[in-house]
This record gives sequence, C-alpha cells and structure tokens, in this order.
Amino acid sequence: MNCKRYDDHLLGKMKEAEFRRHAEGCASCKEQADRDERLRAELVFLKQPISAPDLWARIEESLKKEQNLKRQEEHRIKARPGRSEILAWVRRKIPVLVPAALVAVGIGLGLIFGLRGRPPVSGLLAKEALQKVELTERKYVKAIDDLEKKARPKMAFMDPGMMSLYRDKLEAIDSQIARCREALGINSANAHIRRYMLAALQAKHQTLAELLTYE
Amino acid sequence: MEPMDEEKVIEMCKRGDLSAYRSLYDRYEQPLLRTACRMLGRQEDAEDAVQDAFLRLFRGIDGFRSGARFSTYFFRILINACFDVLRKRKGAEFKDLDIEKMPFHSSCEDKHTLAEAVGALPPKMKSCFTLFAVEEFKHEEIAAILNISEGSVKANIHRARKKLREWLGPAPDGGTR
Repeated sequence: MNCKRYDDHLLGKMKEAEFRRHAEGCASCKEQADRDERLRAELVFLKQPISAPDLWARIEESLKKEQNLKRQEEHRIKARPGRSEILAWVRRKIPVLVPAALVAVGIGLGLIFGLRGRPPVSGLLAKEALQKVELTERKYVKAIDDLEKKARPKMAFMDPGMMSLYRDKLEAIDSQIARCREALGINSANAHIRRYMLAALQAKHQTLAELLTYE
Repeated sequence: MEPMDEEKVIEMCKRGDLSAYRSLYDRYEQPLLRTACRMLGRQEDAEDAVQDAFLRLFRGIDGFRSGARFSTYFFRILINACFDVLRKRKGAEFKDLDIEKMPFHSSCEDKHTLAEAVGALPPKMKSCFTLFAVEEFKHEEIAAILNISEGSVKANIHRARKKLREWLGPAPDGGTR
C-alpha cells in the first residue's frame, strides 16, 4: 500500500487510461482501488434513515417558546412611547410648558447677567466700598488743599536746600497722584490703584503737615 | 403536506409561521440528523444539535438573503451547532462514541466499523467527508458551509478517504482484515 500513483490518479494528476494500464501490474494500486470500492458500498449504510420520532415535537416546543419571547419583546417595544406620542403629549402640555420654559429662561439669564455684573472680590471694589474710598479721598484732598495754602508761603522763607528737598518730594507725590487719577479714569473700581492713591494722598498730607511744623 | 416552493417556505418562516418550519423539517430532517450523527457520534447529541440548528434558524432567518442557497445556509448553522457540542465536549475519544445506539447499525460488524471510523476522524475532515460522500454536496458548497477554501475541502476529503481505506484493511478474501 505504498504506491503513490493511486493518489495521483484520485487527485487528477494521472489520466484514467494511463492509471488503468499502471494498475494492471501494480498490486498496491489494485488493493487501494478495491478498498475504495468497498468504502463506496459501505457508505450506502451511512445513508440509511435515522428514526427520531420525538424530534419535531421538541423542536416545535422550543420554537413556540422562542416565538412567545419574541412577541413579548415586540409588545415591550410597542409599549414604549413613540415619537408621535411624545409630540402629542407636548402639544397637550403647551399651556403649562411655555410659561415654565419662560420662567426657566428668565432665571437662567438673570443668573448669568447678575454674576457677570458683580465685580470680583479680589481685584475690584464693590460699589459701597468704592463710595467710602472716594469719600476718604475727598476728605484728604480737602485737608491737603488747606495745608498747601498755609505751607506754600512758608516755603518761600525756608532754607533753599530744605525747600528744594520738600519741593522734589511734593513733586514726586503729585506725579504719583496724577498717574493714579489717570488710571482711575479708566477703571475707578480698581482697588490696587485706589490703595496707591490713598497712600500718595497720605504721604502728601504728612509732608505738608511736617513742612508746617518745620522751624 | 404538499411540497412548497422553498423560497415561499422561507418567506413564511420569516413571518414566524411554524407550519413552514415543519415543512423545512420534513425536507431536511434526515440529512441534518445523519450529518449530526456522523459529526457527534451519539444520537441524543445529534438530535440536540438539530434542534439547536432550528432554533438558530428561527432567530436568524431574517438575515437570510433570498437568492442564496438555503441548504448551504442551513447546513452551516447545523455544522456550527455540532462544533459547539464538540467544543463543549472537548476531546471526545473514539471509545466514547455510542455506536450501538446509532439506528443505522445492522448485524454486520463492518457497518459499525465504518461509522466508528468516520466518527474517529478529526472534526473538519469528518464534516468534509460526510457532506461530500454521504450528503453529496459539491466541493464549492462544502467550502461555503465550512467557510474554508475548495482546495482545503478536496484535501480533507482525500485524507479522509485514505484513512478510511486503511481502516477497512484488505478484502476479507485477501487474508487479514
């Protein structure tokens, strides 16, 4: 059983007539052809009917179960509100939904603009605090004006060296006050500039008060 | 039941008509059972596989395209069901095959031997051989059922025949079995 020509014949690599000529003198190929013939004959028995009397009943039962499950699932899907049902519900509820929506939009806009208009706690002064600061500044300015009126004539009689020092110092403070006023013209609620402004006014007030007491 | 056009039956199946499934059962019961028996070796398992194949068909029939060959489609479902049983069984041995319960057996010992021999082939070889030699599918149809190439189908059938020839042994009048 070791001649490969039989396989060649089965695989179509060898012509029928050529194989027949070969098989006449080859015991191996003859043997294999004989076994194949027996195999073909045996196969008839494998084609015999098989009896399974209860099989359809089982299949039918399982199909019915599956069908019921499918129907239940379809009912479940149908029970869900469809698009048209949702639209009908919205139409019915319009008298309630529209005012509710307007109120909601109003609250939303109020919150957005209310929060946007409020100055941040850290960098900007609130309206009330700004009023207090401006009042204090006005008091300082008035007090400084009063002191200046008294101090200026005195400066004319001072030692030229001291007069020059005081004049330079007051000029520097005035310059600082002028820059602060300029910046506050852009944003009057800027807390940092207000602090510098107040410090400059205090410094000028102190310098003028000092000048008046100078002997 | 009058024989119906297969396309019409499939349309009825798609609508969930159980009588159409009965019609398919009448047509395919024997080829399906025989193939499953050859693949699995035990009739109970074969019946389970056929039942499973019908259930899978019921669930997936909407996906069957008209124009495709239904028998190829259905046998593919069955073979998949059989492979699932084999996977679950994992390495069932030749000796586990319950050949005595196979209804095709007769008093002739050789018939047992052939059924056993077919049962002992590796799954892919067994399915190729059974579909070709017993159910008479063409190579291309088997390739479609098993989702393998036609070349692979031919090679598997050739190897199966070779193994079975060896199993059969020499003719009884020629000496040893």
